[in-house]
Amino acid sequence: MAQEEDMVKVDQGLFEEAYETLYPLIHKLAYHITGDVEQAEDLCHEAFIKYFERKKPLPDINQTKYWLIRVVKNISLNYEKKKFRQRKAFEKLKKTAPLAADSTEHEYFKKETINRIQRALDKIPYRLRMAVVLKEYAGLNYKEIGAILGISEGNVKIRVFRARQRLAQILKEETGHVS
Amino acid sequence: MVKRISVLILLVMAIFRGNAQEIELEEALRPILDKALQLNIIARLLPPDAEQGWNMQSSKLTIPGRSIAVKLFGENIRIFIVLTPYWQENGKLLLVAQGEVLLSEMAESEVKYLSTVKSIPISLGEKVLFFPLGVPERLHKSFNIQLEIEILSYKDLLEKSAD
Amino acid sequence: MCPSGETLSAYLDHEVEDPWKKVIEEHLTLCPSCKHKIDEMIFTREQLALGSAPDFRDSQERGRSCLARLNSMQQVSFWRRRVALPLPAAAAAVLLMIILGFSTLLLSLRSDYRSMSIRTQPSGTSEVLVTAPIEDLERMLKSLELNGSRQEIIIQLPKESEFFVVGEAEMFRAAEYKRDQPW
Repeated sequence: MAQEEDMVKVDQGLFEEAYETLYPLIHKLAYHITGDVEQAEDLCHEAFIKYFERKKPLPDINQTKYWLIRVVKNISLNYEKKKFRQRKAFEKLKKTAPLAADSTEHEYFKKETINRIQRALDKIPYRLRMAVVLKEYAGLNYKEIGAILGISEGNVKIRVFRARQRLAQILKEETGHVS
Repeated sequence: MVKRISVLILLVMAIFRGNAQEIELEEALRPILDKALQLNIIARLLPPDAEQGWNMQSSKLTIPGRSIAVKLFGENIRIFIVLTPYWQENGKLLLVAQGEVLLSEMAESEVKYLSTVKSIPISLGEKVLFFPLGVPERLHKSFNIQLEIEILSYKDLLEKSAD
Repeated sequence: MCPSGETLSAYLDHEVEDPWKKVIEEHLTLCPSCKHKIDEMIFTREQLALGSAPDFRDSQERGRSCLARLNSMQQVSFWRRRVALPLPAAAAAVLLMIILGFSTLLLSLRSDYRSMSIRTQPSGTSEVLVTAPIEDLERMLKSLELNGSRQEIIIQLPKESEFFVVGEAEMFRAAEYKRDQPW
C-alpha cells in the first residue's frame, strides 16, 4: 500500500516536470500548426490531459516530448478535417445564398493572423506544414519527424523541401503586395 | 532560515565529499524530516443562517519559511492566501497569512482589491481561524469564508502512526 | 550536375553525410545557381524564426489550475490514508522529498546510471542508498536550495454563492473565537 502511494507521488512529480518543461514547446507547435491562438491552447491542454490520464507516465523527458508531439499531430489532424468540412460547407452556402454567405464570412474565417509568417504557413497544405513546423520549430531530425508522422525519411525530406519552396513563393508574393 | 538551509547543504556536501559515489539518503534528509510541518487546512463556507455549510479539507507538507498558497475561485470573487509558518526562538510557531481579495459586487461595475497581512504566534496542534472577508455579524445576509488552519509536526505524525 | 532541390534542402538540415556532404560543399563554391537556392532556403528559415508564437504563460497557468484541481482531489484522500499507515522512515524520507516538490532531484536519482535501493539492515532499520555521479550531485544540491515551486491548494467555490467583504480580515485562535460565538 505504502509503495503504491510512493508511486503516485513520483508519477505526480514526473508529470509536473513534463508540464513545466514541455508546455512552451507544445504550445508553440500547436500554434504554428493550427494558426489559431485559441485552438492552440485547447490542443495543448488536451494533449497534457491525455498524458495525465495515462496509467503510467513515461520515465524520460525526451520520450514524453515525442509522445506529446504525436498526440498534438493526431488532434490537429482532426481540426484540419473539420476545417476542410467547414470550408466545403461554406463554399456550398456561397453558391446557394450569396448574400447570407457574405455576412457570415466574418465569423467563419478564423481570426486574422497578425503574423504574416503564420499566414504563409496557414496557406500551405497541412502535410507540408506539419513537416516544416516539426523541423523548424521543434528542431527534430528527419528520422524523428518520420517516426512521429509515420512516414519514411525520404518522404520527410520531400515534404520539408516542398514546404520551403511554397513558403518562399508566398512570402515573395506578399512583399510584392505591400505598398 | 537561511542558516538552516546552508547547514543542510553543508551536511549533504560533507556526505558527498566523504564517499565519492554513495550517499545515505536518509542521513541527508533527516534535517528536512525533523523540521517538516503538516498544514491541515479546512476552508468553510458559512451561509447566512450560520449552520454548517460547505467545506473542503486539504493538507500540505512544508518546512518553516516555505509557503503554502490557498486559492479560492468563485463567480464574483478571487481570494489568494499565502500561509507561511516560521519557528520563533521561544519554540512557538509564527503563522503569517497574506491575503488578497479581488471582488466584484453585483451592484457595482468595478472590481475591488483588498490585501492584508496577519500573523499570530501559535503552538503545534493549536487551531487558528482566518477570515479573509472579515468576521460576519450573526445576521449578515451574505456567505462568509473561513479558513481553519492547524500545524502539526510531520515527524510526530509518522511516529504516532507507527505505533 | 547539380544536386536536386530536395538534396540541397536535406543538406541544409545536416541530413547529408560524407562523402556526399563534401561533394555538395564543393559544388556550392562553384555553382552560383545552387548557392542561390540554398540562400533562398536560409532566408525562408530566418523568416520562419521570426514567426513567434504568442506568450504561453497565461495559457500554461489556465491549464495548471484545471489540472491542479484534479490533483488536489487525489491528495486529500491520500492524506487520510497516510496517517493511518505506518511507513518505514527511509521510504518516508523519499516520499517527503517528492511531496516538498523535489521532483527534479528524484528524477536525477531515477535515470539510467543512478540506482536507488532500499535495504533493511540486520538491526531492522531501512536505509536508502543512492549511487550518483558527481555532476548530478551538483544538480541535487541546486534543487535542495528549496526554491521549488510553491505548493498550492485550489478551491472552486460553489456557483450560487455571492460574497461580500464584511470587515477587515481577521485571524485568531479558534479557542478564543468559540468563546464569543455559539458555533
